[in-house]
Amino acid sequence: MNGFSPEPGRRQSPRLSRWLGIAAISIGVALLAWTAVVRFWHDPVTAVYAEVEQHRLAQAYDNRFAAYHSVAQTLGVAAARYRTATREGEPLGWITIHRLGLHAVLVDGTNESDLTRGPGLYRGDFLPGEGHLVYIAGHRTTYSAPFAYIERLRPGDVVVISLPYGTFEYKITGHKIVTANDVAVLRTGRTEQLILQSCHPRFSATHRYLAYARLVSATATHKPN
Amino acid sequence: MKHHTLVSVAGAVAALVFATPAAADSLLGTTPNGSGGNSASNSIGTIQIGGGNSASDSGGTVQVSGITVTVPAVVTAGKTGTAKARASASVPANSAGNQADHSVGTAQLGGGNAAHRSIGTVQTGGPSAQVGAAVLTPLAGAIVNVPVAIGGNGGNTADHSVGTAQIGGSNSASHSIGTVQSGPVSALPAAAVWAGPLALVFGLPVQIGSLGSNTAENSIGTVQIAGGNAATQSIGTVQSGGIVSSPVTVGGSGGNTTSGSVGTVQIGGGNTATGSVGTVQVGNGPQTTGTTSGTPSTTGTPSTATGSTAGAGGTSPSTTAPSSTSATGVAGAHHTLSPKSAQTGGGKNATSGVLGALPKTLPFTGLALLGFVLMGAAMIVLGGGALARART
Repeated sequence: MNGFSPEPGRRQSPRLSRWLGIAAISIGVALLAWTAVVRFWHDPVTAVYAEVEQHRLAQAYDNRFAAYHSVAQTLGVAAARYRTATREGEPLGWITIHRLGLHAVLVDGTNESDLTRGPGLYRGDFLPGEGHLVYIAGHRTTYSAPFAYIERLRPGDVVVISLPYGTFEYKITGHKIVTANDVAVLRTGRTEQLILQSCHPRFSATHRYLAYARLVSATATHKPN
Repeated sequence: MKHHTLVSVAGAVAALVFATPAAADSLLGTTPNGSGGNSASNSIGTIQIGGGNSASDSGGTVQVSGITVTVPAVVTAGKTGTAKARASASVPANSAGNQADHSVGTAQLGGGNAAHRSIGTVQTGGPSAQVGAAVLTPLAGAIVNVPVAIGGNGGNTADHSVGTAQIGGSNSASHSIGTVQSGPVSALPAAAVWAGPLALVFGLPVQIGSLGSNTAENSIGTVQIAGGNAATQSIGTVQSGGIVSSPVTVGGSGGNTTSGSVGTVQIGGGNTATGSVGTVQVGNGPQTTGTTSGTPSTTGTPSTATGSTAGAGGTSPSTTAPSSTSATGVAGAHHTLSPKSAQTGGGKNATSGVLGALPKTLPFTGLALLGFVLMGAAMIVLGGGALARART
């Protein structure tokens, strides 16, 4: 009879509607802010995880490097042995690209878990020094996004890969954009070549951006006895 | 004792043969070890000698890391007898490091070789067939043949390969099928002495695998001989200590280990199995049955029961009842049957790797933010609508 009896199911209370509206707007603004940060920088949340994992990998690699000893007489043999002795997810070495401001531990493997820890080396191909294809993939927006600005690489830019058995210097020669299912690029050639790969365009998985580099120097590691 | 005496006589005869200047001078024809560095690609029937060779997408390649050859010597000692000496080919161990990629039917000698995605590769350390000598007279004679060894230092590697034989010890195989790994193979001295119608033939054992430490990982159907071998996440592995032909001894000291594997046979004693299913252990080492079934796996779950067999000797094992399989063991078995490579997006499981198969897509490294943008915008619109209703 009077205005005090609400009509259940027809209308929410103004207070509840106001709080729901504020909450929805807050979430929406947060999402847009996060996407803006990711767009113009990279994902700060997953980056924390990646940094922690990189720290762990660096420690593990230090131990591995200290224990490494090879009697192989050629870099190729040392590389082949190192490749077969390394398991997926383990640290392989360091990759340094000054143009990208990148100095990160290289991970063995390119599956989802591997790439959350750092740039990963595709296990179906080879290691530096073996005279074949070296294929490295890295995130572009999340997990510290090591290859966020891979398109900024220019011919002549230097990529240095340090492994227990040697240090390898490559120079960028060009780039190519292929579809995500163009797996022919994974097939090795008869000369040593480095391919850096990331998704393209950013925030998409339809294509892959491939930066090609050729080997310019290889220096064997000489550890004191 | 008599055998030892005969060996001494034969050794003395051989020493006499080599003491003659003619014999010494005849040890010629040595081919120095080359530095190699040859390469073959898309080739068939290539022979590479010198070490550091590589073959890619080739078939029927023979790679040798430098070879040393000497010629036989014949010494005539008057009218009554003849002495012959022979020192034969040898390939220095581990001086090369040949490589075979995507190849079929490659033989690699010299140790330190690598095979990648290849089929039917034979890898050995430096083989050597060293000395043979004979002294012949009209009424009596003696022949001695001193060791033939294959293997030397192994250190060969095979990955994503099928049907690889590795000889020399310290070899490794990963993601491969049908690999045979052995320590060095040696045929120890043999001698024959005769006088008139009587003859005594003496032989010392053929020994396979005196040094082991081979490893197999994520492989199927691996045979490891020599002891100290390790198999991880493999299926159908046979591990044995060294094999000696006289008296026949199989196993010796085992000390093999298997982890997360299915269907492993371990011969030689002192073997361990962790997180494995269907392991058979034979030998005179520590009692492994209880240890095996109670050993935690790497994931912290108890290992599965291993149908273990423990015996007093390498050739006369006794059998103990296998224990049961636990639930966690089954989980371990499942892990074993799912090689790490199969968990990757790279399609790098053993079979596909061997066949050179590639994944369906390149590694995915991106993130689609458009969905989050739309979601955020939708939330703002909904929130605005709720606020508007609250005001009215």
